[in-house]
This record gives sequence, C-alpha cells and structure tokens, in this order.
Amino acid sequence: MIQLNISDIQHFSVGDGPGIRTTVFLKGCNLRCPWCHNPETVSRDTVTLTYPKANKSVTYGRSMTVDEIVTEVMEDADFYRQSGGGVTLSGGEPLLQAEAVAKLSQALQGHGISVLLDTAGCVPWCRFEAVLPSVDTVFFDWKTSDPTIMRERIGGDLPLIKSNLARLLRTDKGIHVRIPLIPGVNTSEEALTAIAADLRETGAKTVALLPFHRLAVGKYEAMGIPYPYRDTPPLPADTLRRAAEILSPSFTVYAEK
Amino acid sequence: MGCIENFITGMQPPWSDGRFDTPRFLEYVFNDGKGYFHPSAGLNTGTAESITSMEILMERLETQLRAGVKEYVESFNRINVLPDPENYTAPFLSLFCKDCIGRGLDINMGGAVYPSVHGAALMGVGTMCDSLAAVEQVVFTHKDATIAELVTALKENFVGYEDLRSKLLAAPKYGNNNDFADKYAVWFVDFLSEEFMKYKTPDGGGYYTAMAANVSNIYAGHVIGATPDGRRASEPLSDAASPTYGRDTRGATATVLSITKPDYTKVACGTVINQKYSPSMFEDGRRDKLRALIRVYFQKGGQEMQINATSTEVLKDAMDHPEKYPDLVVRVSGFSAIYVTLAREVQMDILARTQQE
Repeated sequence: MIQLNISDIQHFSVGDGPGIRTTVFLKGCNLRCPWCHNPETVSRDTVTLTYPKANKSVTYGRSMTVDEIVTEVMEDADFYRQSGGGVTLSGGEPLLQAEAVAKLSQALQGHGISVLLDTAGCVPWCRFEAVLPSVDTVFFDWKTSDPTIMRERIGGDLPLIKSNLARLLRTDKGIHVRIPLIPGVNTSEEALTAIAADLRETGAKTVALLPFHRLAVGKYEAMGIPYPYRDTPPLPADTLRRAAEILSPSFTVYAEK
Repeated sequence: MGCIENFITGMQPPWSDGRFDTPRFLEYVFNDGKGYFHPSAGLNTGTAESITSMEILMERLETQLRAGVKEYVESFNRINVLPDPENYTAPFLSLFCKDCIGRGLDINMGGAVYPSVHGAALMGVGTMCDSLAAVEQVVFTHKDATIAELVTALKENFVGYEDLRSKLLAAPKYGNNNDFADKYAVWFVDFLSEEFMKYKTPDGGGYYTAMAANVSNIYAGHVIGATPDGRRASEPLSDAASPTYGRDTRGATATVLSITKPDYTKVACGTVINQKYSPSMFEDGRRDKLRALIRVYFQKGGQEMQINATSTEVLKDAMDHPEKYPDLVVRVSGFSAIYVTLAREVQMDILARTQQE
C-alpha cells in the first residue's frame, strides 16, 4: 500500500488555484527559503506547533494511503463541480514523493477531479514526467535568478529549475509562473531584470506576483525557531507596482493578494 | 412578516413563534427530572447510574422532550386564544390576504384562507449534538469516565475535572462532516419536528418547528448548567442551526455538509445558519467561490444563510471604541442591527462565530 507523508489537508482553500479547492500539503522540502510561509512542512519528520496562550498544540505529519486521501478530498466533490475547483497538491515539495503523488493524482483524475501541482521545480525532470499526465495545472515558483542566492540562501539549483520550467512550458499543461516578491531577495530592479531575462528564455508568457506577507510569524513562534523575516513589514504597494512595471514589457503580469 | 419564516403569500396569517431550549432536557435525564439551577422540572426518568447505554439515554431523552413539547404546546394554546378584536387587529395586513374581505374578518381572526400556524424555534442543536456525541465516545465507547462521574463534573461546572473536560472536547463535533456527531443533528430535527407536528393551534392550524434563536440562545444558556460538550454553565447555547461557534474547524465546506444532513423539509417555519467570512472573501476572484459554496448549500436543502463580513479585528475594536463605529451594521441572525447598540454578550456571540477563511 503506497503511503504519502502528509502535513495537512485543508478544505475550502480559496487561494491555491481556481474555484473551491482542497489542498493536500505534503511533508518535506529540499529548499530552505528563509521567508517560508509553511515552515511546518519543511522537515519530513513530524512537527508539533504549540500555542501556550490558547492552551493548544497541533502536530503536522502523518502517513496516509492514496485511498484515505481520495476519500477525504472527495467529500467536497459537489463544491469542486459547482465552482470549477479541484485538488491542489502543495507542500513542502510534492515532487519529493513523485511516485506516490502520481498515484494520488491518477486516482483523482479517475474521479474526474482537476489536479493542480504547486512546485518549486528543483527536482530531476523524471519526477515531473511521473506526475504530469494526471495533472491539469502547474504552479511553478520562480524565486530568484541570482545563482548565488539560489545556491547559498535557498539551497537550490538554478539551471535545473530553469530547464524544468522550459520543458514544462513546451507541454500542453496550464503552467503558471509565480514569483514571491521577497524584500532583499528579488525586489530590486537588477533582480527583476535578471528574472525577466531568464523567464523569457524559458518561453513564459505570463507571471503572477505574490507579495511577501509575514502571516507565518505565529507558526515560527509555535515551533520555537527564529524567523528571519519576523520584523520585515508586508511588501509596500509601491514595490509591487514597480515590479509589475519592470516585468510587464515581457509578460502578462497578475498581482495576487 | 418575519425574518426566516416560509410563507404562503397572501393566504395565511403571520406565524406566531416561541423558543424551545433543548439542553435543559438533558439535565433532566441526568438528574431524574431536576435541572441544576433551572427553575422548571421534568419527568422522573431515573438516576444517572441507571443509564447503562446510549440507547437508554436516548430513550429517556425522548421521553423528557416529548413531555416538554406537550407542555410547551399546552401553555401556548392557553394564552393564544383568538386575539382581542378591539386591540389586536391588523387591517393593513388584512387588505393583502385572501379571504379577509370576503369573510369580513381580520387576518388574525379567521379571515385568512389558512388557519394560524406556530413555529417553535428549536435552540441548541449544536450543544445537544456535541453533548450526545461526547457522552457516546467518552462514557460508552472509550469508557474514560462513568456516567455518574460525568454528571458530577457537570454539577461542579468542570472545576477539578479539566482532564475529563479535555476528553469531552476532543470528541467529534457537529459542523465537521463527521457522522459520529452529525447523526444526532439528524435525529434532533426529525424527532422534535415530528413531535410538534402532532399538535394543532386553537383554530386548527399546524405546529411546526424553526431552526432559529435570534439571540435567545444566549439568555437560555444563562440558566443551563455545564453540558457534556464541554460548555461551561451559563455560557450561550449554540445558535440557530449553526454548529457551536469555534467547533467547526474543517473549513466552510465541511460545515455546509454537516448542516445540510438533517431533513429541513420538516422544519416548515424556517431554518437559518449564521456564518462569518473574512472580508477578503468578497473581493474579485473570491466572491465567485463564496457564491458557489452558497449554491451547494441550497442544492443540498439549506434554507437560509446569514453572512457577516466584518473582520474580527474591526468587531473587537468596535467593542472597545464604539464611538468610532456608529454605523457598523452586522447580521445578527434573521435580522441586522447596529453593532455598537447590541448588548455586550450578543456582540461576544457574533465575535465568537467561526471565521471561515
């Protein structure tokens, strides 16, 4: 029986793709973005968040079979149908469990459920090949075009990510490039110009901008680990507008909330 | 003509209504007909120790409720004889109702085509459902406490029984699409609606139920002791057809799936659930998703959903600085009100509603 290492299953997700969705957050990530919004998903091991004021603790990390996940997400089938929604596979990096994730997305496809994959793309191409046939849409994070930042602060492999995105964009899947705008990482004119150059080479036509927010502060506190972005204010509207201006000659730009 | 009532336009007199609080009857079952500090009393159905199974508990609860419904109807029929024709006429309404002119009678005095109908607003479905599920799990399935220990803990308002209270709180709760708890909501609506439908109003109309509270759930809770769902004495009962606030934690879809399990076609007077959404749900791109959620709610037999979209932060700030929010309007239940004019406990109740997304 194939098991998936799950962080959480979130019903009525309205920020993770079209329509009403259920998001399956997979445990484990191979990147270490210091601004991460889902720190509880990074480790493959179980993580407990404790909230002393609320006298509450929540543990993330459990093993579930494909059938168990399908049963749970199919509870909301009527809502997917009515809203044009479906299931989002996020994390963590779902493609670290590509084989099991493929089984899950195939099962969902068999039930007529639209599947969206949310990935940072820093995995061998064969992982995409396993999952893509049963996925309709891919959210692909583009974090930086600075190879030093990518290697030293994030722990990723820029050429691999770039070649994966270029290959994805040659498939018939809906590929959505998303840039998290992070102060000090990718909001300067030079950083954005470099990103635009890279993305043009991959063949991307549209990009979505996700401005930094620090809603994850509480999670870091509950995990008892420092958050480097604790004192960073939400991205100023001006910075978001300027980023859109720099990118818009090359791409159709969407700004998300 | 009302706020949640289903209506046959131009054919019937306005509904009369009353409130029927249900958790009181659970106190009677646990205490051989006595409430902890409620002035009224129920039937002698036996001691707590003699409740040796969930079946016996439910049987005694139905016996208590049956008597409660009968008492409610008898007392209502006693006071609800035909209204005083000198002081309780409604000539303007009568103009819009068949067959008042033909019969030469006021709408409230036999002029309407259909006789008078009464809606008993059932209060506390969430409190009852969560309480019964907690007793089933903690006492009869896991056997973590005896029924006598539970009753003592309730009498003591959980003081010294925090461990037992945590176990009761951990049991499945209404509003999470979990049949273990939701089956009791189905029973609640079926049993009580059918019980009320056995009775007639003085002019031969029907007794029906409503799932509504219009803030009476707060005041009804004042005289009800601690309940097995973990609610402490005097706290509000659950509101209308809604789950107990804060207990529906699996998202708005699970809430809708739970609350549409009971057969509300039996609740002829009307059903309302009160929901709170963050203001971001009404922005472009998300509004359609909320609309889809509401559509599914109606497709599955829901009748009315009242939505507040004021953020929790604003509601809290308005409690501390009412002068800043003289015109902040909120949905209370079947009606709206200016928030800063509401009693503090009603404000607290609205604040406590689970905020979806």
